Order: sequence, then structure tokens, then C-alpha cells
Amino acid sequence: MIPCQAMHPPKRARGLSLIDAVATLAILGAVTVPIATGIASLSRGNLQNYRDTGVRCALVYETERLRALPFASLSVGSTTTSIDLPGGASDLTVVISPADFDGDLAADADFKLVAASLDGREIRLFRGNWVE
Amino acid sequence: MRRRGSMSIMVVILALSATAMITAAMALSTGSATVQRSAMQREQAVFLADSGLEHAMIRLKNDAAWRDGFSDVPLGAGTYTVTLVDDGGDIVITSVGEVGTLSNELNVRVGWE
Repeated sequence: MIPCQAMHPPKRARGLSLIDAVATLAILGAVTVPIATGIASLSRGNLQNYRDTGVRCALVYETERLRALPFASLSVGSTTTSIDLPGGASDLTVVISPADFDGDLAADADFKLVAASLDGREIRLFRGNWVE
Repeated sequence: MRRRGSMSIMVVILALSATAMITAAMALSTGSATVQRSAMQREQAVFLADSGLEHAMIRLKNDAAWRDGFSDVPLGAGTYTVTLVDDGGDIVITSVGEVGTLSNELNVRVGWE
């Protein structure tokens, strides 16, 4: 060791240099925004999937209920019921209307179209009065 | 000993790890949405097949000799196709509901008195 160094030993590196800090902050800033956006999108996607499950279950439940009713109990008209779903309530609308079964383009009293819709999804089915 | 840039490298590694995990989770979420869509279409196909059966039964009630069936009748999100085959005095009705690539088939044997 030369005498000069013995008197003034080199400084030890401590902490971050300004360049390190600036580079780290720049990288953090660059990756935080897309990651946060991804997490937000993921959260919205999961909520939408959960809501879609609720919509499907409510629609199937209602359509099965209408399918099980006696034909005479299917009154022509429209009904709307509010359904609680993940992310907010929505209206379940059921429309029952006479339909044409014999191809003469005229609606028949013994054939009905049932359409249940909720949150932009819909299930349709025909019911016929064929039971003796 | 000074290690220049070591903090930045750690940040990059952490960011890459987080990005990979989020990408994987988003892929799972997207897959789940696809499953949801398919499940809805499957339910619609079930009701379409049932509708075809109802349609055939009301036609038969009004015309016992009717055997024409239906081909790709549109209803809601899909179509149904119905075929009727005489079999030993009974009629075998096959109704297929289709929504997109998904389908559901119902087979019913009907005996008329």
C-alpha cells in the first residue's frame, strides 16, 4: 500500500447512486402501469365470469320452470323480474307468445314461444299443447 | 464491494415474474370466459332439442301421418332438426338442437293409440 492510500483509504460504496435510483424508479414506473392494468382487467374478468354463471343459472332455472308448467298455465304476455346478480341486479324478462307450428304463417293457440332473457343472454323454447 | 445496477436487475426480475404470473392468470380468466360461453350454448342446445320435440309432437297430434320432420329450423341462438322414423308401430323421434359447434340430441319413442 502506498502511503497516500493509507492516509486516504477509498470510500466504501453505500446505498444507491443517483443513476441506480433513477434507473430503478424508471423501470418500476414502466412496469407498474401495465401490471396494475393487468390486475384490474383480471378482476373485471373474474367478476364478469361470476356474473355470467349467475345469468346462466337464473335463465335455466326460469326456463325449466316454464317448461314444467302445464300448457294452459302459460299465459301470453310479458313479465319482468329483478334478479340479484354479482355486480348488480338485472331484469329477467319472459315473453310468451303464440307461434306457428304448421307452417301457415299464422300463430296457433296450441303452440307457444317462450323467450327468457337476462343481461343480454336469451333462451328460447317452444311449448306445444299435445298432451291428451 | 460495489455492485452497480444490482437493484435494477432485481426490479426487472421481479417485474418479469409478476408479469408472467398476471399473464397466466389472465389466460385462465379468458379460458373461464370461453367455458362460460360454451356452457350457455350447451343449455340453449338442450332447449332447442326440446323445442324440436315439442314441435314434432304438436304436428303429429294434428296429423298422425306426418313424417316429414324439420330441418334447421332457426330459434334464438341456434337451430333444431327433427327426424321421424316408424319402428314396429311406434315412431322414433330424434331432435337435435345446435348452437355454434355444440349440439344436443333427444330420442323419444312415441306410441299412438
